[in-house]
Parts: sequence; structure tokens; C-alpha cells
Amino acid sequence: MKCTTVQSKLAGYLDDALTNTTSASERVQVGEHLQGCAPCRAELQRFRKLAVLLSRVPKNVAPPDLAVRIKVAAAQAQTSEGWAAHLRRFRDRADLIIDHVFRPLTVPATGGVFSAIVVFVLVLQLMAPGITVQAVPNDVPLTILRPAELVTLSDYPQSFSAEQHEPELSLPQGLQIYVTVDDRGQMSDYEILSGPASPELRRQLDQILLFSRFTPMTSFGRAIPGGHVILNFNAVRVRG
Amino acid sequence: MSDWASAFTWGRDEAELVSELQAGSETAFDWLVTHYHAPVYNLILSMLGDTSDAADGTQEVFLKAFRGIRKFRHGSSLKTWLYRIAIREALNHKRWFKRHLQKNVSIDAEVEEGHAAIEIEDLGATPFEQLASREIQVAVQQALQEVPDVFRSAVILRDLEDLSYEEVAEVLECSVGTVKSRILRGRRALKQVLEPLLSEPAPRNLSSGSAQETGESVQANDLGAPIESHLSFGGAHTAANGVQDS
Repeated sequence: MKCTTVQSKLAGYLDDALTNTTSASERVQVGEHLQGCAPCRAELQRFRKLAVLLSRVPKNVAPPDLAVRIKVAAAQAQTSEGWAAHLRRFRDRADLIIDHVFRPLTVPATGGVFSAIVVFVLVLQLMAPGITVQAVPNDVPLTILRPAELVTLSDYPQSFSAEQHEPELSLPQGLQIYVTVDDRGQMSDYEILSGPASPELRRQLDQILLFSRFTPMTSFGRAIPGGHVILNFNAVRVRG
Repeated sequence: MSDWASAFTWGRDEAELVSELQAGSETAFDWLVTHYHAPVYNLILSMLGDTSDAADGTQEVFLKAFRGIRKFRHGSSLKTWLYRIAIREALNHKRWFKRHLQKNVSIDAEVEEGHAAIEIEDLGATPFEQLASREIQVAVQQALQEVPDVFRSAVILRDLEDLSYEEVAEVLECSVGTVKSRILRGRRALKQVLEPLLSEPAPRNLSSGSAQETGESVQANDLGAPIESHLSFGGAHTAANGVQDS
């Protein structure tokens, strides 16, 4: 086999699955050629390094407010749709609002109050938290829901680190945490949305999040549980 | 007291989530955005190389997804479906850009915004195994922009996103054979652009063995030597150089 032929086959040579574009016997021939040809071996090394490089590319981290922006945009897009879709969404939101906003305020379920809730819901255009809503064009904007926010992220307490670690645990793929905040501004639960999920990392996260402080989600100014914050990490520092 | 979080766990049953989405459920949509906005953003940014374009594109993807959910085929997965919309979005963006803004500018002169541009040649001075994650990211990101769209998408989906060949074919709406050929061409193009990082610097001490062969047997352990156990070269030559081969 000539060098030009061999080199044209090298891009897929290291992948098992790509070998059916190259037959098994061709693969053997390429292997034999490589044993005796330094320039082709060098070329293969470049492809091998490329594969390593690509496997080490870290994930791009999304801007922290992107998810909320998308939800707001979607909610705004909905207002231009027909009444059938509107009705579906209003029902959906009514359930949400009754469960999460009015129940904590212990609103009695009398007929008169119920109709007030219905009016409120019909008039509420956006359900994205933290967005000021205008009920009618000339009305005063009011904030129904204010989302939870991060106040401070705790330093990893020195007394808890048992072993000497590297000063920084880098996270090439980024780490995205979905934190649930209770009504006292403390983490009640969290979920790793993306990134490594080793038990060691979880332990570190447990500590960090346990001692971090958040402002809880508020409705009508009263703190309620069930707020969420998304945290993006590029690196985790461990004091050792 | 019901918990927001428990309302959002659909991890197990994707079919149920799809039904909820098709019924117009906002909580289902919120869950979709929360869990997929990051990978979609990552994909579009890899394709377009610009952070604000990627953010706008990601938003478009979810809006289109919500509008088009009724056409969702119950065979495919949500992930490949979203990725399909994302790739289409990225490719359309490029075409619009070329048509409207590049009348007098050559295609090669596209400048990447939202990232500090680096010279790939400069990175060639750093030993391969010492390249920092950030340097790799910027270098590969830049290099990808110089690979033609159709090959770029195949390489991104396969080599960066680790999709299977079948999944890539679903996303790109072509055959597995086409996918494989696009991946090969994409890799070749990438290799050419990233040449300074991939080539061996000239060895400093030329010992008695031939320079080229000792040069390449000075390989660090990161190159995945286990892949090619039958290519056992360099055993005799490394002794002359004093470097242990793995």
C-alpha cells in the first residue's frame, strides 16, 4: 500500500466503528505499512493527538440567566396564541398558583375569594418568577413572585477536609447544580444537572451548599419554600 | 405542601413528558428548558463560535421546540430531536450571515467574537500534555470555525458530544454512511488547522538512531498507547534516547 492511500485512511483508523468504511483486510495492510513507514506513523500520531484533544475539550458553560430568559420569552410568545391554547395554560397556571401561592397564604376557599383568584389568574400574563407584570396597560406593575437568589457561597470549611487535596479541582465539563431553597433561605435539596457526580464531589457540595445562604422565594413579600437557583461552577477549591 | 422540585422530575418517563409538552404544560416546558438549555447552548456555541449568537440560538430552539412539539415522532428521543432543531438553527444562522453580511469579505476572514482569539501557532510551543483546558477549548473552538459546516456538525456531535453514529444520523437527517464520511473529512480538516499543536517539536538531542523515529517514540503516556498494541514500534530506539515508552 502506498503512503497516499494509507494516509487517506488514517482519519478513521483509530475508531473501531469506522472500520467498515475500510475493510478488515485493508486495515491489516495499513497496519503493516505503518510498521515500516515513519512518516505515516507520524501522521497517525497526529490523528491520535487530535482524538485526545477533542476528548479533553471542556463544555461551554451557559450564561446563568439563560434558562430564565428562555422561559420568559416562551411565556411572552404564548400570549400571541389563540384562546384554546390560552385556556389550557391558564388552567395549568391556576393549579400552580393555587398550590404554590395561595395555599401558603391560607386563603379560605369561599366562593367570593375563589372568583377573585380566577380573575387574578386570567389577568396574569407571565408566570416567570421575578418578572414584573402589568395587569392592564395603565396599571401599576406588581411583583407576585420573587425568585430565590444566592447570597453567599460558603468557603469549604477547613476543619472538614480530612486529606490534603489539590488546591483546585478543575471541572473541564463545568458543573451545574439545581438548588431548591426552603423558606428560611437554606438549601433543602439539590440536583446535579450536568457535570461529574462522584460521591466525593457530592460530599464537598453537601458541605458548601449547607453553609451557603440564599434569599428564599417570596410571594407577596412572604418567604415560601420551593425556590430554585441554578449554580454554574468552573472549579471547586478545596482548602487542605 | 407540594414541592416545586417533585413536580419537575420526569427523568424516568420521557413519553409522559412528551405528552405533557404536547398538552401545553408549562411546567413540562420549564423542566425541558432547565435540563437541556446547557447542552443545546454548548452545541450551538461549538457550531457558531459566538456566545451571544449561541444564547439567541438556544432561545430560538426552545421556542421552535414548543411550537413544533406536536410533530414529535414517538420513536426518537427528546435529546436527538432538540439537537436536530439546534443544528438546523445553527446552519440557518450561518447562511443568513453569509448572505447578508459577507458580500465583500472573504469567508476565511470570519472573526470570532466573545472569545479572546489566540494564535494556534503560539500554543504549539507548549508541550502537548501541558495544554490547559481553557487553551484546548479556545484552540479547538477556533479551529472548528474553519471547518465546513456539514463536516463540523458531524465531528461536534460524534467527537465532542459522544453521540452514537445512529444518533448523529438522526440529528443530521442522513444515513450512517454519510455521517461517517463527514466525520472523516471533518477530522482531516481539523487536523490541518491544529497542526502546530499536533506535530512533534524537533527533538533536542539527536542520538545514534534515526531522528524521525526517536522523535516520535518520545510520546507521553496520554496518547492512549493501549489502542494500538499491535503497532509496537520504538522499543529498540527508545533505549538510545533514554526515554521509557509506555
